[in-house]
Amino acid sequence: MRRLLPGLLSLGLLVCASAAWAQNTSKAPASQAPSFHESASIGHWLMRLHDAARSRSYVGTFVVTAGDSMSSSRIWHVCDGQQQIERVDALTGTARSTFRRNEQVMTFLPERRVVISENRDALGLFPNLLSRADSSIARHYSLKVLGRQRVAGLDSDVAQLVPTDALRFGYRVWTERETGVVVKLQTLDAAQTVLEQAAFSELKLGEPVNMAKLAALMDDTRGYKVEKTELIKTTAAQEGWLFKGQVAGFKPMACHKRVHSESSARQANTLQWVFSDGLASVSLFIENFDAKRHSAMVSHDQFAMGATHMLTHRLGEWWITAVGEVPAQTLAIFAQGLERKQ
Amino acid sequence: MTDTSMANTELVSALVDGQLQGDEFAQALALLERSPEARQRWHAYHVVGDTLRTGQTAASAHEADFVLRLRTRLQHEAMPSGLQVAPDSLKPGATDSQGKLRGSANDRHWRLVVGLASVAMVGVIAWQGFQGSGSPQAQLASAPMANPASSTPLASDAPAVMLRDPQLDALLAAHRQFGGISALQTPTGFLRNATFEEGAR
Repeated sequence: MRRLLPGLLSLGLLVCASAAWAQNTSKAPASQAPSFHESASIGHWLMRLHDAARSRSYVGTFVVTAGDSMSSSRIWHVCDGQQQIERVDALTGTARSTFRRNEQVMTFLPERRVVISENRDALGLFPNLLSRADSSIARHYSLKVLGRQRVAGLDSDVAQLVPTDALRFGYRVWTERETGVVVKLQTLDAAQTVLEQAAFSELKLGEPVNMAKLAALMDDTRGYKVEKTELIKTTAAQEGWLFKGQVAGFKPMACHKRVHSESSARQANTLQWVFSDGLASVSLFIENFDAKRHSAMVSHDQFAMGATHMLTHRLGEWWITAVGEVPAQTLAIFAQGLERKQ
Repeated sequence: MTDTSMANTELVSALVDGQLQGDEFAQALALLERSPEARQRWHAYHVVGDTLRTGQTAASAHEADFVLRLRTRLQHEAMPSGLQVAPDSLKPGATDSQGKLRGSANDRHWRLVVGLASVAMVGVIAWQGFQGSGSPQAQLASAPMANPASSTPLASDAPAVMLRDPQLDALLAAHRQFGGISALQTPTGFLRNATFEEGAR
């Protein structure tokens, strides 16, 4: 039954029941101040999660439930201290196989005979960012130890990252007791409703995975057309934008224009400005307002998919789309805080 | 056992072992998609594998049945419930201005979000109404609904209608690819995004 519950919860069919459950079980309000010990240990706790991913090999089946959708994949993960290689084969939806070597990502789409090659700098930002003294995570989340549970047959510690305000969601994290490998992650709203869940349904830790073989598979693009997505790094100021709003804890992290080898000039003109509080991130997309494409969306400007919310907003001749794993009202502050430089 | 079913059995077995790539991988996925037998076999292999490794069954056929029943019921029940449909744009197989077939999984995917979101919202509101205003948790949960930002009609006013829009899908994908700046990204976020299909890439 424990395995069925997340699926049922995600459907919203049990929303009443889950809300009632949240009412009864979450005695500690989100605003409760964390003890010094708890807040000081968030960084260490997160570092342990990262170290586990950098030093353990495993093979497992991973299940993600968001909104009403359920997806699963087969995962191979191997590392040698320096390099991490991961393979994720989607078992649901479009056939695709994603490989990651540190920040380099290759997504094979066999039906289209296309492989998308990307360099995701964001993946390399942590854990360096965690060790920085000005990390805002400890200021905006407190760590609460909840106890122990078994997940995918493994004894796990359960902890919750409780947000200190309503601008962000909370997270409940299950880590395997011995290694610290994350085996389950839930994103929770203020009412403690599970918005999204990602968990291993089956996990073999320490399984021998052949790193050279995975690397060879990742680099073997024979018979595939390689599409490369390049980003042009820029700054918001350089592009004529200012952020006048105040969203506690969120800092601008990156700003770029996207150049996709296959995309039209129109897409390349979209600016993506990314903010993060260390756990949640928000992308502000700025493009020219196009009545033909955007007018239909003006009256329906808010969407949600699991924990991810989207909000669109017209600003004069510009069209703003805010996307992030944050509550809708946080996106509204972001969208309204954006100003065109005079 | 015919040659075909033998070949299919081997294909599923190779998929479970992670030995497939390229055409064979696509072929195996397509097989799982169309053949209930192959899906059953897929589950059976996992159950056998788990049992051999751990002495207990982690995956079971019950789960497959559950997911299947769930999908069937969703298809039959979720769509009409409180769904506000934008004209034409949400009809399966509707064509856009260029006459190109708009299509595929996304249609269903977004529509379900709307249908269920509205069911969920009705549920929450009904529950909160039942509970009265005495509980601080309920107030916290309803705060954004009671005080929406001026330019953002929220779900309590009108159910959020999901217009299927390839442009939104593309931005969502761009956020996943280049915007996911989080300390939880490498342990779990990346796996989540690679696993979960939302919007065309």
